[in-house]
Amino acid sequence: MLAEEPSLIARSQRGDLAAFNALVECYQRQVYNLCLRLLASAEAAEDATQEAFIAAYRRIDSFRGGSFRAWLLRIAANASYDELRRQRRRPAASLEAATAVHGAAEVPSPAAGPEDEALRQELNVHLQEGLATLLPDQRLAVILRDVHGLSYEELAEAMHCSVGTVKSRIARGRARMREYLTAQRELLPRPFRLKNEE
Amino acid sequence: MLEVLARIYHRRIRRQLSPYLDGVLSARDSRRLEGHLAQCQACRDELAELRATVQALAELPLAEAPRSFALAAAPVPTLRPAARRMEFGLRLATAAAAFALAAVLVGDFAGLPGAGEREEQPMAGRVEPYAAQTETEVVPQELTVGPGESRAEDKALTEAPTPPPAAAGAEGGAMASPPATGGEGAATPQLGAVAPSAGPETAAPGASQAATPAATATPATTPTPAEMPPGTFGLEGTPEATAPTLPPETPSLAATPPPVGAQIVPSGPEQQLPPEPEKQVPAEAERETLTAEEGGGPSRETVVRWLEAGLGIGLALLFVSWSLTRRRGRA
Repeated sequence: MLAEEPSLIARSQRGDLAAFNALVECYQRQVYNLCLRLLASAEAAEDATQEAFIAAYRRIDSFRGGSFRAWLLRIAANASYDELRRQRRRPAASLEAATAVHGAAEVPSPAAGPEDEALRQELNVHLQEGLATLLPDQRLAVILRDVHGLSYEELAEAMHCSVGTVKSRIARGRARMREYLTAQRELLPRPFRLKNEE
Repeated sequence: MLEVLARIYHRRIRRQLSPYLDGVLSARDSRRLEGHLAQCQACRDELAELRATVQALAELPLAEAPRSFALAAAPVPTLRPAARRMEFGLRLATAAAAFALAAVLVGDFAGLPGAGEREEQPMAGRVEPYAAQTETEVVPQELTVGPGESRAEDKALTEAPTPPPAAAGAEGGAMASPPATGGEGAATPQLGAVAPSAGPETAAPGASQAATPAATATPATTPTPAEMPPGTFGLEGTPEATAPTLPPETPSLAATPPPVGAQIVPSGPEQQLPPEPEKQVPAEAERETLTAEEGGGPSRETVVRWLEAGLGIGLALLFVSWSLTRRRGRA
């Protein structure tokens, strides 16, 4: 979080586009990655991210304190769901999204040898597929908690629910992910298997 | 029994593994969980797997944003309602055009063979008053000028033929030969012969130069003013009213034999014929000319009626769709 975030938000609420764009620059990576995880398509994630920032600018007056990141990621999640609905109306696009799953997960990690890199890519694909098996609320909770590192309180804010509900969604989501990954154990890369066998 | 209790306890413990990993479990619950983990290998395994899962998710690399998502210009919040309004306007225009087209098509088809019998009655009805009007137009003018005057007759001739379409030939004749119409009785018999030829619209204007003009008007119109007072004429517009007055009159003219006179009449206004069959013939001829003029379609009245009905239905449907969209917009 930027030190000047509160003042940037206040200026944005007065219609200062430059201040809002400073916030965009600060959060666009997180917003884009959330959309990418939810949509599993780089192209759709790009559209959803742009839509999310446009919606955020329009609704910035409705932000009444708390975690700006949680508020913004909530808007990004809604934009992604809208994009998903649009894709369902165009079946050709969803096919394209399905084939793009691998592309979306192929994010190079720095400082890794070629073999490690290949294993990492494989694990990422399995994680993306496992996330796709979760219920929407559980998936959003797991991504926001484990990928983006939001606190339970931030999650409660972003998902408009109680901390108890957040706990339950995260627990169920993780349990399902664990089941999925253990079922794929033979297919999983060595690092993941080794950790399990410890 | 003990197994069931143990399973329920296990399930409760396993639900606490996730918050335990995040460090959000209460101190008391944490202590109890740790006590259980020390004894239960299955739960230890599960915790390890869960930890590996969370770690793998946390290690998922974040992709770089493909571009800057900074807004180039402030999005206009009123853009959407305007677009919606425009969309509604376009829809309205489309619907109106569609209904107008449907109305015209339906009107067109109603006039095609099949509905023809229905159309005939109103047609004949329309023709008669029309012809009667031409007659009334002719006579008053002659009254003012006096019978037998060539000028008045010329006027009457030119005016009378114009409304019915068959007039084309007759009119040409009238224009060509004003001097020949001297108002003489002798001219009339000849006219009688020519007049029928003028009836069909194909009559060559040059052929009947001298004869036609005088023939059509003189015998028919001149007698009526003499017999009838001007007041009564205005009242009696119908052909049946004028017709009976003629037969007694025609003999008084002496110059023209009654049958010939009767034959002359159809070329212009057809009402003066008292007998039924003869009256039907000119009516048909007139209708033919009328339909020829309108291109064989239905009468204008029916077309207008269809158009009105179509537009009425269209407006009603538009109102319904408008109210529906409005309600949806509120919801």
